Amino acid sequence: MVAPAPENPIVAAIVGILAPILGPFTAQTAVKTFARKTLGREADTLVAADVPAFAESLRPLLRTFVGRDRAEVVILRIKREGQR
Amino acid sequence: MKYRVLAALPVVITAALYLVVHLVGDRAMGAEVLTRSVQSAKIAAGVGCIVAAFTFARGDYLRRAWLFAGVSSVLLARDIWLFPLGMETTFLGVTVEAINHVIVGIANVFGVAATVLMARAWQVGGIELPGSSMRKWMVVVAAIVVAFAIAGVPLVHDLANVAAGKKVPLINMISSGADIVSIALIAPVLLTVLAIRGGVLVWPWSLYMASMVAWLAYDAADVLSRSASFASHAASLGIVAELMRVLACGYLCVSGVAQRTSVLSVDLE
Repeated sequence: MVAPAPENPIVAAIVGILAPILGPFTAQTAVKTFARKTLGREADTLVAADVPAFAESLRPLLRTFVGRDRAEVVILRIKREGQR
Repeated sequence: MKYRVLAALPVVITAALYLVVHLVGDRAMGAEVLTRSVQSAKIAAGVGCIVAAFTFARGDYLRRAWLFAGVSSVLLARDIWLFPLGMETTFLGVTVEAINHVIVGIANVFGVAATVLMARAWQVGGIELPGSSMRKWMVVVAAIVVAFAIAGVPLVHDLANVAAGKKVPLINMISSGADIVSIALIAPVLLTVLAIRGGVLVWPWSLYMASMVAWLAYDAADVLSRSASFASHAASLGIVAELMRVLACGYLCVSGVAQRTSVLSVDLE
C-alpha cells in the first residue's frame, strides 16, 4: 500500500524527485526512514535547513541503485528543493 | 514502450524457436538448432550483463553484481569452443571433461554471487520491503520450499548414490546447490521489485526476476525429463528445458539493457 501524498511541501518535492526512479512506495518510506535516522525526527517536520543533511543521507541508497554519478545528480536536485 | 518491447523480446524469440524446432521435424536437426540457440543466448546474456555493469562506476555495488552475472554467462558458453575438442582429449594430462567441470563450477560460483548481490541490494541501500513481516517470511519460506522441491531432487539422488558407494561428479552436486540458492533468492528479488514498482528501475529488476523464474522452469523441466515417471515425455521435456534456457538467458540480456537504459534516464545536469 502506498501512503497518501505527504502534506509537508518539502517532503512532497523530495518524494516527487525519488518516485519516478524508485517508485512511490520506496520514495515515501525512504524519506520517513532517513528523516528518523539522520535528523531523529518525523519526515513531516522537515524544514529547508534540514534538506542538505537529509539529501546526503540518501547517498548510500541512491548509489546502490543508480550508481555514483546519477546519485550525485539526484542529491543535487534534492538540495536545490531546500533552497526554493 | 521500449521497456515493454524488451520484456516481450525473449518470449517472442523463444516462441519462434519452438515453432522452428517443430517445423524442422528432424529430431537431430531440431536438437542442433536448440544447441546453437542456447549458445547464442548465453553470449547475449553475457553481453547484456557487461553492458549493465559498465553503466555503473568502479566501486558501485551493482557493477560487481552485473559483472559477476556476465562472467558466469560467458563461462557457461564454454561449450562453443570446448566441446568440439572432444571430452576425452587431454591438455597437460587434464581431460576436456575435467576442464569443463572446473569451468562450470566457477560459472556457478559467479552466478550465485551475482544473485546474492542482487538479492541484498535492498539491505545495502537501506530500503524497506513492502508487506508485513509475516507476509515477507511467507514469501521467503515459499521460495525455499520450491527451491528444495525442484533443485533438491537431483541433489538428494546424487547424495544417495554417493552413500551407496557410486561415483557421482562433484560438479552435479555443486550445480544443484547453486540452483537451490538461486531459486530461494527469488524471494528477496521479488520483494525488491514490489518495493520499487512504479519507478523506472522496476524494469531491470523485474526482467532479472523473470530470468530467475525461467531458470526455475528450466530446472523443473530438466528434473522431470530425467524422472522415470515421465520417461515417455522425456524428449518433449528436454525441448522445454532448452527453450527455458533460451528464455532465461534472453531475460538476463534484456534486464542488463534495461538497467543501462533506466539508469541513463536519470539525466546528468
